[in-house]
Formats: sequence, C-alpha cells, structure tokens
Amino acid sequence: MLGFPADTALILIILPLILALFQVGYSYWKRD
Amino acid sequence: MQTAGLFILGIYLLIMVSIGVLAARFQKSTTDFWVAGRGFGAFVLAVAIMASIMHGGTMVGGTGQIAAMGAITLNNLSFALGFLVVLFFMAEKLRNFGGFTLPDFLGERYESNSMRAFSAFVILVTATVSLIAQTKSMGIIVQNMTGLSPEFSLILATAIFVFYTTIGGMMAAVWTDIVQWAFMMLGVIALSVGLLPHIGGFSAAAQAAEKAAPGWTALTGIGWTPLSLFSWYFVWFIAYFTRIEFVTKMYTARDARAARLGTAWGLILILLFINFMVYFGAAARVLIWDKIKSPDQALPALMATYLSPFWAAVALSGVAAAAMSTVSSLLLLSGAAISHDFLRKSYFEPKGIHKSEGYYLAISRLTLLAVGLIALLGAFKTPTLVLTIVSYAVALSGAAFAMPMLLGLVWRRTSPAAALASSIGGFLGSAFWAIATEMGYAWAKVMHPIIPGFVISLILILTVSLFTPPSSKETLQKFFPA
Repeated sequence: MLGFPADTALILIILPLILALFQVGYSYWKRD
Repeated sequence: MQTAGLFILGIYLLIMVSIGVLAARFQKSTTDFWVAGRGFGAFVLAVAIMASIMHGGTMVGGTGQIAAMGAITLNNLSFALGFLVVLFFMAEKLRNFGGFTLPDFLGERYESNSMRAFSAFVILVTATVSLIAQTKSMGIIVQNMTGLSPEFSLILATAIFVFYTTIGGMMAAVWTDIVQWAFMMLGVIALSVGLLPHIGGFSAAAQAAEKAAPGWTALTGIGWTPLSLFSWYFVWFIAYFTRIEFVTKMYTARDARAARLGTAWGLILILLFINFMVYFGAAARVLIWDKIKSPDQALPALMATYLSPFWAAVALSGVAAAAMSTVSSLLLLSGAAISHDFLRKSYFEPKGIHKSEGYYLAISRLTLLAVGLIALLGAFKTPTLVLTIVSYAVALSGAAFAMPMLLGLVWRRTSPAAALASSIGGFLGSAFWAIATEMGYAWAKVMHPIIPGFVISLILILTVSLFTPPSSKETLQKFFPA
C-alpha cells in the first residue's frame, strides 16, 4: 500500500486524511 | 538557471508590489490594517493559513530530515489533531470575539493588562527572532535562484515584503499569500514531474528508499525510539494549535462559518502540499544521498540535478514564495505586538490618552518599517543568540500560550491569576529546559523543552484556578454565551 507498511501509511497518511475530511464535513454541517 | 531566475523574480516582484499598492487603497482604519476589515471568505483564509504556516525551512529542512530519518518523520497526524483543536474550540469564539491580536484575547478574557503585556512580550521575542532567521534563509534562496550577490538578494527580497506589508497590512499579506501559494504548488509539481522518470511514482520511490535505507518506510523510521517519535508528534501537535500566525487569522474571517471552513480547508491544503516532501525525501535518499554533505542540501540538489535550468528556477521560486509568505505574517505579528498591544492597549488607552485612527494607522506602518529594518540588519549579521532562540521559539510560545488560550475558551472557571501564572511558568520552564539543553546537560536532552514547560503550565492553571476568583460575569458572558 503506497509503498509503505500499513501501520506507517495509517499514521502518516490515512488517519490524518480521515481527520481532515471529517473537519471539512463538520464545518459544512455546523450551522450558526 | 540564473537568467530564468531573474526573469521569474522580476515577474514575482511586479505582482507583489502591485498587490501592495492595491491593498494600500483599502487601508482606512486599524481594523483594515491588522485584520483586513474582517472580510475574508473560507478559501482565501485556507490559503493564507497554509502559506503562513509552511515556510521555506519546512520544505528544505523537512525534505532533508525525511530523507535521513524516514517517512514517519512527517508529522501529518500532529497537523490534523492541532487543527482539530482550533476548529472545535477556538475558531468560532476567536472570530466572534473579534480582536486584532492574541494579547487582545488574553487581556480581555482574563481582564488583565499584565497578561496582555506578557503575551505581547513572548510574541515579540519569538516572532522577531523567527523573522530574522527566515529573512536570512529567504535571502539565500533568492541568491541561489538569481545569482545576484548575497547582500543584494537579501536587500531586494526584504524590501519587497516589507514594502507590501507596510503599506497594505494584513490584506496585502493575505492577497500575496494566494500568489505565493500558487508559486509553491507550481514548484513542488515541477519537481515531482522532473523526478518521475528517475524514481517512479510515490509507491516506487518509497520502496526504493526502503531498499537503499532499511527501515525508511517503517513505523519507527531510522534512528527514532518510540518515545522520541511520540514526543516529536506531541511537540508539533502543541505547536500547531498555538501558532500565532494561524490563530490570529481567525480574526480576519468574514464570520464564524468562514473561520471554521477556512481552518478545515487549510488543513487539506497543508496535507496536500507536505506529502510531496515524503516523495522528495525518498527520491533524495535514493538518488543523491551520497553526493550531499548535509540533509539541508537534499532539496536544492534534487532541483539542480533533475530539472532544467528554467524549471529549477521555478521550483526554487516556490521555496522563496514559501519563505516570503511566512515573513510577512511574522512581520505583522511583531509590529502588532509593539504598536497595538504595547503602545495602544498597554500605554495610551489605560492612561486615557485619546489618539485618532489615522494616528494609530501611521504608527502601525512606522513600526512595521522599523521591525523590517531590524530583520534586515539581523539577517546580515545574525547574533548567535538569535539562532539559538529560533530553535526554541515554538517551545517558548507553545508552552506560554497553549493552556491559557485553550482552557480560557473551554473552561469558565479558568481564573486570571491562574492564566498568568501558567503562562509565565510555562515560558520559564521551557526557557530553563532550553538553556540546560544548550549547556549540554544529558538529562535535558531526554525531551523537547516544550514538554516540561507544558506540564508546568498545565499544573499551574488547574491548581491556581481552584483557589482564585474567576473572571467577572460580564466577561464570561462574552466568551460563553447562552
């Protein structure tokens, strides 16, 4: 996967990306 | 490369100066100057956040360090968690509070001019030393790009950013950030395209790096222990949500929603950008590691070896743009600490001396000009002390601000006395640890100075809050509505 072992890819790329997408989703969803 | 470099620099200079002149026409009050009239939408904010956080050193130093210590060195997770803190607890409240600077917020939340003055002092020290160091490295990049003399490169580059920031304020800094971001993206894409035939895609590059340096793709990288890796991530987690140039951008948002969206999209832009560093790090490890003397030469060597002169100049201009977008933000921070926090809020207004907006606008500009001059002089002949403080700037401001900022927005009970004690204690704890590290004590090297500073700050803010009175009801109403 991506040339990385799965644990490294998880911490380096996948988890941050999930968190980032969650933040974008949250920002759109939250109303003032 | 140097003719191409001069050509690109010429275009770049023209754009920056025009933006400065255009932005200057909108400067009617200090609100226009320090927070760009609070009119930025989410996209502009996201780009501004990304461009001011990513500096030239992040690209050059980051690529070298990743090449040396493995892919895991890139702390994407710290970015994501740090931004999460800002998004959940700070973005909306800071925007709705609507000050100009971080000391504005701390001073009002804790009803204390000492808090305001102390935080302005910390910002002044850390932002000014970083400004000097970044200005210096920006000069070196421009010199490599154009072949002009080191002195002339430094003066020219400094003159550009001091000019547009002084006349156009935050608005010019952010508008130029957008152009600088485009240069940065163009630069990393150009280098990636150049490297593709030699090393292959992301996956092939990582596998080749693993073959060249076993452990390069592993979870513990090369030369990390689990503890050192954990504290590396922790340090940057604290550092990202206390980056002053980041959190003060919240004040410039059009509304709370723009502040939230800007933060979230800013994170996406950062992740998009810095993952290129992993690719460059892998390529450097495989292709040129034996030919360079220090890791910092990895990125410039890749550009010089694998790109045509024109594209090498384009890629280098991306690094120069990254440096310049950061120095303009740092210049604004130092200038605001002096003319807004010290002069206006800690001296004139408490003494009841009334001055017009025009007066403050003029003072703000003069201050920026003076700080810009100091940065230039400092970059020419940098005192060793400045370089030493720079390497701890993140620790000092992180330990001084993390708890008073965050707890002040999430815990009503956080008391003024506790915040001040925590801020000073955290700062001194970090400074003490940094000095011990510099003096060569083995025990001090066990952890980064931000960690002891942070722990002291955390203990102080929790315990002192329990025994001292909280802020007044009116103040709390402002930060904890309904």
